[in-house]
Amino acid sequence: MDAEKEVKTITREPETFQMNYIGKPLRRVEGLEKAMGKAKYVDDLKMEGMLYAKPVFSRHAHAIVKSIDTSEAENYPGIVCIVTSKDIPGENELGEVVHDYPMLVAPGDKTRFEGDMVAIVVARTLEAAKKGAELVRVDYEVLKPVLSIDEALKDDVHVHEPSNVKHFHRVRKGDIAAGFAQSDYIFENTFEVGYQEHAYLEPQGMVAVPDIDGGITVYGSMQCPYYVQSAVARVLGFELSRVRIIQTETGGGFGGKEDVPSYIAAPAALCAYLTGKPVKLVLSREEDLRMTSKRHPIRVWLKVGVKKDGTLMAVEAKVWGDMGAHGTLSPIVLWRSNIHAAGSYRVDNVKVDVWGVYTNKVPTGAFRGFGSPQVFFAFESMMDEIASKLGVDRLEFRRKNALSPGDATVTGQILDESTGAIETLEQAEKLSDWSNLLKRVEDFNQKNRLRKKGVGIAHIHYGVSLGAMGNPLDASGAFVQIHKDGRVGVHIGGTEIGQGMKTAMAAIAAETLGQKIEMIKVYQPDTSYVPDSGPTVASRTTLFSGNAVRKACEVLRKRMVETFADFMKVEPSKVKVTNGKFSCPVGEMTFGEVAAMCDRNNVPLSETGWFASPRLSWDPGKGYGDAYLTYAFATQIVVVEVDLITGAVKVEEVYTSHDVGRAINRDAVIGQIQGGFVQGMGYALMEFIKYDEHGRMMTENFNTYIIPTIHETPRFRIGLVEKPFELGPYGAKGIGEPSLIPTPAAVANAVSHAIGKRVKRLPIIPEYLLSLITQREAEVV
Amino acid sequence: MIGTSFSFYTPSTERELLITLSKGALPVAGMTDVMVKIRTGKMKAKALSSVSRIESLKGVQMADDAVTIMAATTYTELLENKGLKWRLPILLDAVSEIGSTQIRNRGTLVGNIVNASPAGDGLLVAYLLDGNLEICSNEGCRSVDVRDFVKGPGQVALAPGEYIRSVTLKIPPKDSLYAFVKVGQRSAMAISVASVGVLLRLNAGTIEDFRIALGSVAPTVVRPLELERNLVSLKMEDGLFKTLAGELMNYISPIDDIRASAWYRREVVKRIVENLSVYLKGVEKQ
Repeated sequence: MDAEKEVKTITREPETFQMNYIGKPLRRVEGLEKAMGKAKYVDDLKMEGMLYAKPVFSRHAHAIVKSIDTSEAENYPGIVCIVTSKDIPGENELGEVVHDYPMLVAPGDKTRFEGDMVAIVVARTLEAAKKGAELVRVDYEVLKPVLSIDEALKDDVHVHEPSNVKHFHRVRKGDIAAGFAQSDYIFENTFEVGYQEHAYLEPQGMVAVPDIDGGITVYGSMQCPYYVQSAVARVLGFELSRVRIIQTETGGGFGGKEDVPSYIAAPAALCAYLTGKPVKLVLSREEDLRMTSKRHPIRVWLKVGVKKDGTLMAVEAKVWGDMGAHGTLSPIVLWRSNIHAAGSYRVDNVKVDVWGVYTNKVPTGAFRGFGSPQVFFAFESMMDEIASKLGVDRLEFRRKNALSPGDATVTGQILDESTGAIETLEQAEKLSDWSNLLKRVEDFNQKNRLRKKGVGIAHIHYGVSLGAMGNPLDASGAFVQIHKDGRVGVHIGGTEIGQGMKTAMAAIAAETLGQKIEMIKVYQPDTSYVPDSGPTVASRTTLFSGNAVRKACEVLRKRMVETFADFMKVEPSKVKVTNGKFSCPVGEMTFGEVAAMCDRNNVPLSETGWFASPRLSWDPGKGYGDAYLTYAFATQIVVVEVDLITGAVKVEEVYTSHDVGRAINRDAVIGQIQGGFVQGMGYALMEFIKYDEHGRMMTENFNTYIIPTIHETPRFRIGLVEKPFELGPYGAKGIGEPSLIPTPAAVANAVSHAIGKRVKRLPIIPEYLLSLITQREAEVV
Repeated sequence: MIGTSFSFYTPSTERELLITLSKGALPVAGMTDVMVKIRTGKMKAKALSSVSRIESLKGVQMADDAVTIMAATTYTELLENKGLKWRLPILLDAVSEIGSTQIRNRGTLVGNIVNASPAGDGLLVAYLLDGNLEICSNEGCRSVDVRDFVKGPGQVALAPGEYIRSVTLKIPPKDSLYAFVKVGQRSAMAISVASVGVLLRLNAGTIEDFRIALGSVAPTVVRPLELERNLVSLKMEDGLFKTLAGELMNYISPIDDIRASAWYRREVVKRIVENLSVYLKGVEKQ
C-alpha cells in the first residue's frame, strides 16, 4: 500500500501531554484475538441440540399472499417445524421507529419487497433448512411494483395506504422570499444519489437460546442490543426482563446493524421459543444484500441566492428519500437530511422540506452519515458551481461563509466554542498547498489531452449524537467493577463494531482510574448489566458511553484514593494515581494492593455511570431551534485523474482535516478517516444497486456490487483540529461518520473540475461520466 | 458453505484422469469459476476431477514460433516465466489484470478458455494469438483452433470423456507492437466490461500484420479477420484508427447487462480504438 499518512495537529491542550493514554496512538485491546482468528463471531457459536433456521422470502416485490402450503416441506427429512404468522404469540411487527413491517406476511396480506419473510423453516441441519425453504409453496397474486421515486410520487399504486408520500420535516428560518429578492444571483439544480450497501465483512446473524432464567437469550452481530431486546419482547409477548441480548464480536456495522439485527433476532427467538432449542439464523451474503437496509437514494432540488461579494443570502431545498418497502428508520435518517440540506454556512433565510416515499424495494435505513452525505453532495456541488460563476476561489468562498463560535447554524442554533470549521478549512489549505496544487493540476491538464486532473473540495458539519429527534434515547450507562487483584471490568451499552470502541473505553477507564490499560477488560455488551444506553450510532459512543465510564471511574478512584490516604495517614489531595500506582509523600502501593485493601475493608469497588443529553430546543412544527448537542466539522480536498477515453476516475491525493474535539486514540481516529474516505469514495464512484423490472435485486453479491479495494486507495494527508467540547470525555466529539460525509461531494467536485462539466448524479460510474464527456466534447466542437 | 455435495478426484496422471472421466467426472483446473457456479446452482456436477496435480500437465514449452502452455499451469506461473516476457508480453499484460493474486495462484489459461466467457481476458489473447488446443480422450488426441472450440457464451466443443492437455499460442512476428486494454468496474478483481487486444507490425510505415480481438461486446470474443486483412499493406496514417473504429462497430453486438450498457461498451471500444496509438507498446528486448 502506498498510502502515506501524516498527522498534523493544531490547538492541542497542554493537558494531553501529561496523559498516559488519551490522545496517544493505542493498540486495539481486542486486536490480537481478531487477527489470530480467536474472536467469537455469531457463526462460531455452536450449542448442544442447536437447530438452523432459514427464512422463506417472498419471490415477488409486490404481491398478495393467497395461501402457504408447508406440507411437502414438513415431510422433508430433518425438518423440525415451519413457522408462519399464526405461530407468533406477540405482535407480528418489526419496524423500529415506523411500525409497518410485519415479521411474517400473513395470508391475505401483501409482500412489499422481495425480502419480506413469509415463513421460517427450522431444521436439524442448514442443508435441510435450505431445502425445506425451497419446498414451501406460496400462492401469490402478483401486483404491479413501485420501483422508483417518480413512480412512487405518481401515487397510483400504493405500497402502503393511504399514500406512498410522506412529508416528514421542515426547516424555516428568516424570510426566504426576501432573501432571494436581495440576492444578485440565484442558482438552481437537481441532484440524484443512489443506494449504498454497507458491505460489512460479517453477514447478519443471531443465535437464540431458551435460557435458565425462563426467558430467551439472543447472541448476535449487532450495533443496538436494546433495539433487539424490544423487538424480541414485542414479537414473543414477553416482559423485557425475560429477554437478554448479548452482542457477539461484530464484523462491521456502518449503520447496517442498527435496526436490521432486530429483524433477524425476532424470527430466531420465535423459533427458539417454539422448539425449546437453540436456533441459529445467519443470512447468506445474497440474502443479506436483498433483505437488509441500504443508504437512501435521494433526490435534492436546491435553490441558492448569493450577493456579488459571495455572501450567501438564501437557501431553499426540497429532498425526496426512497424509503423502500417499510418505513423503519427513514423518518430519523431523513431528519438529518433536513438539518444538513442547507449546508454548513452562515445564511439567514432558509427553507427546507423533506419527503419520504415508499417503493417496493429494500427498506433503506442507517448508513454512516445518516442521510447527510447525499445532501452535502448536492450542496457542496452548488458551492463549487457558484464560486465558478462568481469567479472566486472555491476555498475562499467557503471560508467567507463558514461558521465560527457564536454564529447561528441554518436552524438558528448558536454554536459553542468547539467549532473548528474555519480551522479545518485553513488546515486543509495548508496540507494541500492549495494554490500550488491548483497550478500543478492546471499544468498537467495543459500537457495532457486524454487524461485530465481535477481538484475537489467539500466542507461539512455534522451533528454529533442523536439530536432533538432522538433526545429520549440519548443517554448511556456504564457499570465498572474493580476486582481485588486490581483488574477492572467495564460493561457498557455501546457496542464494538470494529470502530475501536473497546480501546477508547479502556483508555478512558485507564486514564480516569490511573490503572494500566492492559488491566482493563471491556466486556461484550449484555442488556442485563447496563440499562438501555440507546444505539451505537450517530458517532455518539465515545461521547455517551465514554462519559458514563468516566463518571463511574471518577467515583471509584475517589474511594480508592481515600482508602489509600487513610492507610498512609495523609490528606487525599496528596495522593497521586498514575500508571497502576498510588503514591504519596510517605509511600506507594500498586493499584492491585489498594484494590485488595479496599476489598478487605468492605469499600465498594463497583459503580455505575450515566450520561444523558441535555434537552434540545428544536421545534419540529416551526422547523427551527437547536438540532444537535454539538457539531463536528471537516474540510476535504481531493485530486482525481479522469481517463477521457473510458470515463474511469482514479482518486490520487487526499488532504483532509477533521475537527474531532479531542482524539482519544490517535491511531483509531486516523483509521476511521481513511476507512470513511474509501467507503465514501466507493459511493461516489462505483457502488450501485440494480433492480430488474420485477423488483428483483440483480447486484446480490460482491461480484456485481463493486466496492473499492486497496488498489483504489489513494495517498492521504490527514490533519486533526482539536477544540475540546466541554461535555465530551476529555473534550471528544465523534469521528465515525464525519470521516465519510465530505467524500462524495469532494470527489464529485474534483471530477467536475477535471472534465469542465457539472456532475449531478452519484455514483459517477464510467458510463455516466463518459456521457458527460461526450456531451462536453460536442459543446466544445 | 457450498450447500451441495459432489465427488472430487485428484488424479496424479493423465491415465488416472481418464478413468475418472469415464466415471462421469468433469475435468477442472483452478476451479475459480467452477466453485462459484456450483454454489449459486448455475452448474451441477456429480463429480469433479482436478488436473492440478498431474505433472505432465504442468509447465510451458517454448518453440521458435510458438509457446505451449499446459492445462494445469497457473496464471502466477505464467507471470513468473521469464521466457514469456519477450515472446508473449501481451499475454502477461492480460494475465496480470485477471482477478487477484489469490485467483491467479489457482486460475489457469486453459480453464479460462473452457469457461468461454466473452469477458475472458485469457480467452481474448488466445483468439489474438491463433490459439490451438490439444484435446485428449481414451480415443487419442486431436487439435482444434480456439475459435472453433468456443461455440457461444459458456459453450465449448468438449465431449464427455475429453480433457484439454494444452493450448499453443503463436509468437507474433518480430517487432510487433501490441496493446491490451481492459475496461472494468475497478482496477483489480473485476470482470471486463469491454476489452481490446491488438497486434500491429509496421514496415516503413506500412501495415504488415494487424490483429484485433474484442471482449465483452458479443456472445463470444470477436476477431474480425476480414477487417484485419483489409488493413494489411495500407499506410499507417492519421485517421486510420478512427476509420477502423467506425468499421468495427459493424462487428460487435454488445448488450445491456448488470455491469454496463450496450451504449457504453460500444462507445468505449470506439474511443479506445480511435486512440490506439496511446496504448500500443513495443516488445522489450530480451
